[in-house]
Amino acid sequence: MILIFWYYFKREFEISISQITDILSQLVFFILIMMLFPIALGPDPENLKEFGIAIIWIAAFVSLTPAYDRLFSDDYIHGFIEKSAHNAQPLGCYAAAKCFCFYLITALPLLIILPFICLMIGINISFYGEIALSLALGMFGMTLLGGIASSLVLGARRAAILGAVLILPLSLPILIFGCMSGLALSEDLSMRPHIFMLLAIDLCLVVMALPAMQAGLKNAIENA
Amino acid sequence: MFDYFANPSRFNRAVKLVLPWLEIIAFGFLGYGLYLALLNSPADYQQGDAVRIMYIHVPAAWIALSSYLLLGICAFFFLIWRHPLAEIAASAIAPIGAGFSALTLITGSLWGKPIWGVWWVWDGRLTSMLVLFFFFIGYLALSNAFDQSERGARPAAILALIGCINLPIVKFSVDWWNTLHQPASIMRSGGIAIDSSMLSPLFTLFIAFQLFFIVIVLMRMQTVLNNRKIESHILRG
Repeated sequence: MILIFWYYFKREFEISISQITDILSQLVFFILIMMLFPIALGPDPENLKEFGIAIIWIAAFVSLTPAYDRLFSDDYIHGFIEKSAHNAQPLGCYAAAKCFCFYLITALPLLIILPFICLMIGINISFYGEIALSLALGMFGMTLLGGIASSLVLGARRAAILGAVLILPLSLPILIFGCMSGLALSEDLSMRPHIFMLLAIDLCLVVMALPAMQAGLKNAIENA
Repeated sequence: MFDYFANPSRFNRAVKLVLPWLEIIAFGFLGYGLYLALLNSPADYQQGDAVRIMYIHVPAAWIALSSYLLLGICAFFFLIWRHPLAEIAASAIAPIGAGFSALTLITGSLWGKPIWGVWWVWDGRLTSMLVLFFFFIGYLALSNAFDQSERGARPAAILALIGCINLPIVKFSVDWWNTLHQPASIMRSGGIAIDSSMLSPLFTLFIAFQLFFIVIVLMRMQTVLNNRKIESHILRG
């Protein structure tokens, strides 16, 4: 099982690394969304400081949402999913490898530019570690939800927008606890309970997402 | 009974037998409930006649919530046992659930304007009802997103199950989010202490809505079954 996971992970990792511009454009998209907020809210630093954590979370959510569409659709069109299923390899393993790789290559790089964004919207840089931790946990759950949605919409019309419609209501708890952890930081409270809640949601989603993605992928290739 | 109704034409015959009686009882309850609610119940001492919106609002909210649970149960039966009626039932329930949650939001908004002075507040209960509405919309969008109409049934059923597991988490976190952000100053829970004179129309209308829901679902299921019969006749020539 681990070998199969590793095989899929390596394949996916090599493909993603070879498309380095995609990763960069993902980062640029994140920065651009973040930039919309000072322009819309006005440049007042006090205002930005108050909404800073929320801005970061919304920018991360919105910039990742269109990316989930590409999670399975390329492999679906090229027939790779069907080939794996014919070789009697567990599709859950494939989906897990795919999501994990997406998380490492597309989601986590946001944390690299996070310090600069903290500086730009006036969040105290000494909180970087805490914010990065909660964001890393939140994006993990988001990636699993995105995996579920993109496996369900395979072969649908307007799959990208449909996937976003399915994900966003489900991801509200992650947004709530993520932003509350930031709020706790700015009020000098412990953010531990919120971090544990995010962790609990992530673990629930792992249990839920693997069978759901497996069923979704299986259904998609049966009706291709 | 579960296996017995796996035969659609047997189900169709049973529905034909039961449906007229159910319709009569449902509309009887509806008429009596509306008479109690609109004419034969006291106006609230604080809210006046605006309190009568409650008799529609509260049953609609109950039906909206329970119909999502029912949708999840149908999806479960469809996915595990491939029960042919469960899929049809799920596709029949979803638009009605969406309608009832929309009705809840609209009547709540109409009720909120005279009582709270605003059409909408980001209260935990309002927000979770809005999310429920979007869950229904997501189900409908997914089940109708494929070129072959039957292709959407299974993805939509998986989504309904995930939604059912997630709904308590969403509800709980939204409530928590709200109580931390704003104290309970808007929703004065002491404002409405339900008296028995208000409780009886409420329950009558609740039963009426429940029966109405069952009638509509059965009618829609019948229509889907008949449509499929027609299609297969056309295919056979």
